Amino acid sequence: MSLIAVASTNINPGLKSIGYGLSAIGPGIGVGIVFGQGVNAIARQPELTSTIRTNMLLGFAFSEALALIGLVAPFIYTS
Amino acid sequence: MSAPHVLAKDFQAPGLGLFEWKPLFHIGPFAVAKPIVLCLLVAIIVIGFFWAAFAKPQLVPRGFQNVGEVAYMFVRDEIGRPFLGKDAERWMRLLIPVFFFVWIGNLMSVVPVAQFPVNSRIAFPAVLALLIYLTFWAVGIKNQGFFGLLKNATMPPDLPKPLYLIVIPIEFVSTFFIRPFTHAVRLFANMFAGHILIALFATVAFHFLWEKVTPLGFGVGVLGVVLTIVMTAFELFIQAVQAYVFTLLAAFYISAGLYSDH
Amino acid sequence: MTGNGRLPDESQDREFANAVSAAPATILAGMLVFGGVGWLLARWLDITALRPISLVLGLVFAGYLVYVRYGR
Repeated sequence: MSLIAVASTNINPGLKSIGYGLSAIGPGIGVGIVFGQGVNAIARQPELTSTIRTNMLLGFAFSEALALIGLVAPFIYTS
Repeated sequence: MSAPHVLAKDFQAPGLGLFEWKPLFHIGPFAVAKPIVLCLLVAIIVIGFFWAAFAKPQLVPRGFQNVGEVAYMFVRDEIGRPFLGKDAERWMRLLIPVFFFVWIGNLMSVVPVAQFPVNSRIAFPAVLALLIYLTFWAVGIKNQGFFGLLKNATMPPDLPKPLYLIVIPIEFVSTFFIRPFTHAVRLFANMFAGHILIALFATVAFHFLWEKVTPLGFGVGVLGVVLTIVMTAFELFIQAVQAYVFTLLAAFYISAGLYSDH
Repeated sequence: MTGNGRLPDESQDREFANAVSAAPATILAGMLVFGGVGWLLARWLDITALRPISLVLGLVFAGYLVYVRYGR
């Protein structure tokens, strides 16, 4: 456990930002898929627009949450 | 002894130094550097353009007035009307300057001699966002009253009663601290990253095609030139989109102050 | 200033744009509020594990809040 703590404090700060950049790839792809498929669905069935928009919003919010977890994760390790 | 490492041994990537300018001259205690000069230039361009367009408006538009009317109607129909409805005309005098200041300021990134997006210094978006934030407070207090504004912003209707204990702090922090912050940071971060990206590819091209030409590095240099051109075109698009989004959120803030019902 | 609590037309689009910008802000606010309280508790009680736990708790509550407000 203490080895992890030592490693997390001694790590190169540039490496941390690269780590956040890598972790932001997933949410980026996810948000793209959510909105792309949402627009596709609305184009196919315009009468269901409000339902699709609601679900689109939930998908967007929860995949965006992953990026935000990465944003606040450094605060866990600072003492 | 890996090839890419040896190839790029002398290469210096551009960093935060791109955004630090030495003062050009001093006025009293204030040092004037390039971003401020560009900011004033943008303000003069925007004011001058709309002065030329609408100083003497005619029924049949000619010259500048044609362009000015297209610009006005774009902002009114795409941003003002959906959010502010019949109050749109009244708020256009705030939305038009904000939109065009942000857009022309971003556009300075690709103007040959300037080549610096004004909004990549956090101070400029922060002041604009603060202006919108204060407008939101003023309009909200005038239309809904102080406690009415707080209640409408932090207490969404139709929730189970005990949940409000948790909901109120979250919504309070979200509406009054995080959203103005992200409003400014969204514009700043996009312009900052875009400027670094273009500078990186241009530096790659310059380094491998001019400073240190090697047979192996030649392809990398050509790739740098191509990517510089592609990313500049992409940046032109992003700049317009960010100006649009910034003004859209500004219009949303004002409408949240004007109308109590969510 | 004629806004006396009435929505303008096209309120659907407006609602959607509002929600798209508000949902991530709500989630971030939830994590900050709960994580902040957890951080203080962790300092006070000297339990390091409270920091990640409170952060996850805030994420769950904020997610539930987004679901309740915009998802139904």
